[in-house]
Amino acid sequence: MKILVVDDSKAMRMIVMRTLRQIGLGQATFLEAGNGVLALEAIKAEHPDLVLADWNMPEMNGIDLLRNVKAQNLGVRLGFVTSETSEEIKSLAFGEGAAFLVSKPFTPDSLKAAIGDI
Amino acid sequence: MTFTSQQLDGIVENMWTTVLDLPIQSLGVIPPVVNNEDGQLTGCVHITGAWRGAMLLECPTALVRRAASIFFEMTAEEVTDAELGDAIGELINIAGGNVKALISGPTQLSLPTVVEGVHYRVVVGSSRETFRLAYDCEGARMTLRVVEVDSVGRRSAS
Repeated sequence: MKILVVDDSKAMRMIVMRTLRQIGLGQATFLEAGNGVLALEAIKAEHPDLVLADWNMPEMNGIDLLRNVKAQNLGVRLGFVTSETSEEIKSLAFGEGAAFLVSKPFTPDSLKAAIGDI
Repeated sequence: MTFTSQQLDGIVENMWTTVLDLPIQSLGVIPPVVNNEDGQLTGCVHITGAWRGAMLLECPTALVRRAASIFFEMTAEEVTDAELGDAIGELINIAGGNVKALISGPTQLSLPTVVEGVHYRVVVGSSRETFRLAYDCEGARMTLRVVEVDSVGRRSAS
């Protein structure tokens, strides 16, 4: 299994990957991208099974990444790990087809519950 | 008031314990004090829209280094300047996003900016400081500041 973690903060990418390992996904291959543009390239090249993306990023933000994934029929499950926790953001994310939205700060349990069975 | 000091305390304490697993104690509202002459990093995010202002997290560099060493799973000595900036930027980004969720109406959160040093002044339009809250983590003091653009400034800016 390949999991792509997208965040402009290297620190947060580290935390997300560490937490994914803690919740039983240590056997996965982790890919990283620092913004939506790089993530889109990685999705096309590497075909990950799951994408966890930040919302606010330079170059291309998370919601535009999701829109591109849907528009180009890339067929990957994409959810958000973000400090953006307002109802407005949640509504927009799920309206565009996000698989989940996890609020920062998160715990292993909250991340596991949001991602669900893979 | 859009949010309270108790809500800000809750956000900071939850962030600190969940992300870093470090103890933190609120010291309440403090007067303006510059106390980080040994080095300070400040993370700043702006919120625009239904509420306009900025949030700043001022931390002694040593405390940011401790946080970064936890983020990156390395010793404090191994942490680079870029990783210090990443760490303080991500912490204020989390705090800003959580505060944004308390505001009614559409708002936008900026990407974080990092300021190095003690002697700086923040100017966000015609604004006033509405909160200056202090916290203690393992003997190091950090400060969360909230600067709000006043209604006159908001009108004149629009």
